[in-house]
Amino acid sequence: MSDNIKLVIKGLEKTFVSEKKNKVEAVKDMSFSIRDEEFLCIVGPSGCGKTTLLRMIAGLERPTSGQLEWKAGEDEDHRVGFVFQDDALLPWRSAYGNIAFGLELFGKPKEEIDAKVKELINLMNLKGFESSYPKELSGGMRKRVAIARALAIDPEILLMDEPFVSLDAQTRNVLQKELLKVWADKKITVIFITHNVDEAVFLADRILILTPRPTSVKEEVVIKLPRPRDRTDLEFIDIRKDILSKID
Amino acid sequence: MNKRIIKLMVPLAVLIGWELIAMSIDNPWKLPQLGKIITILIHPEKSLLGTGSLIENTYFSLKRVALGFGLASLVGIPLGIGMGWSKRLGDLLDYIIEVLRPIPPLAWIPLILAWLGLGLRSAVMIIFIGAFFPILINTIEGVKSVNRSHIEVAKTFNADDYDILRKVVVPHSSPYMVTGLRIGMGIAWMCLVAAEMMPGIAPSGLGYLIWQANTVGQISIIISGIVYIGVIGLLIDRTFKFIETRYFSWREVKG
Repeated sequence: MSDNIKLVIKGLEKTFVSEKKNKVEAVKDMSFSIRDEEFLCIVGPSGCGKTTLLRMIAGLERPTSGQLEWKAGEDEDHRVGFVFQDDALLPWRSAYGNIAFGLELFGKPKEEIDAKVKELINLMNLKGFESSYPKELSGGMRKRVAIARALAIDPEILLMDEPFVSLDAQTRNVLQKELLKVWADKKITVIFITHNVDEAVFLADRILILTPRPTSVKEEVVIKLPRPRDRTDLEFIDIRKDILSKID
Repeated sequence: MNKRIIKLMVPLAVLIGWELIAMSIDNPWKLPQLGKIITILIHPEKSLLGTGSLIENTYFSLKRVALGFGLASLVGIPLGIGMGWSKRLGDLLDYIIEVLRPIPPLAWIPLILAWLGLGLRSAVMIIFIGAFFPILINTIEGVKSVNRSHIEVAKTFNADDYDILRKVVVPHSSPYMVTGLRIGMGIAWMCLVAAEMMPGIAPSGLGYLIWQANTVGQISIIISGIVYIGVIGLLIDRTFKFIETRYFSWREVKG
């Protein structure tokens, strides 16, 4: 991890107004920053507004107030890769076509798209499944395609919204390890939302614990355990216990 | 037993029964023997009752359907995309569509004749009305059922509205459109034959041929015309089914 700050979030707030004009505060006075090449996990009680936070960073939701300050980005539009909770693969596109989707939208030339997609197919262990449609893929394979699609555009930050929640425990463990490998190899910056504390402790450099709605940062925990981490390690278990006790 | 044989059993029995009854009543004005019909069917180039041959009449009928159906697609698909995509346009046209949609296309014939007169235009218009609504309604349904998260994926890749329409909405709705086209084509074909039987719409086509045969009691020509209509309808339907399985096999069947 470098010491360069990638993104600073300052006083971010989001209030939704329902059709009956009721105001619902989802995010209130949220401030934190993320460093280049950092793996940041965000945990919090369910329905607290974690997803809203991520959607604001992705530009899918406009903050009611507060700022997102991007540091040291060469691009004006600050590309983010978003991995949705349901994998949101386009069913009419093959695995290859799904991975190429973002590159097509950014208007990249065909040869560049092809080279990039092939690289990601190797990276995400998708070889042999290039022409498979999403309905022909298992849950784990679909996630791999969704991650590859988000990575294809070389995002400044990879945003992941409880990506492994629908997978069985074994597949989830495999994908966690693969994700860490990709993160280390490609030196990417990740914000990963989960309600699974075990997952957060296994993955993160740092964990933000959020308060219930309207949510803000309650506490941050830096995980200094060396990788690969061992879930049965006593220190690991202690950290997990500690974080669990801090989530309301 | 072979599935194909089972499926062929009833049609064969019908044909045998037909032939037996036709022989026993021995009256071609009520029920001609199969041989007489087959003779007409295998000589589709022969002129019948001075109205032209089966081939010529099929050509006229197909041309009308192609025009009316083509027009209905050209209007129905873009309008359906617009109404499904823009809530405002959908609301604006909702009532008028809902009122006009249940009217049987043939009910328009007197008005169409009054406004457009005799000839091709009127026939095309009736087919247009028949094909238009299923195409429109299915397209709207397709566009409205687009998955929000698919649109958001595109947005995270900086897609504008045009990109979203082209890369998400249209591919998602294309199977719905083809279903609408298939249903629309079936209705168009039915409207056509009925329209051609109306006096004065057009002095040609399979419907016209059947009606002419009726006035002179030529049952075997009537049945030949019906067989042509049935076979062509079947071929068209099969073509659409083929397109559906060939190009939309990616569809996730929700059980």
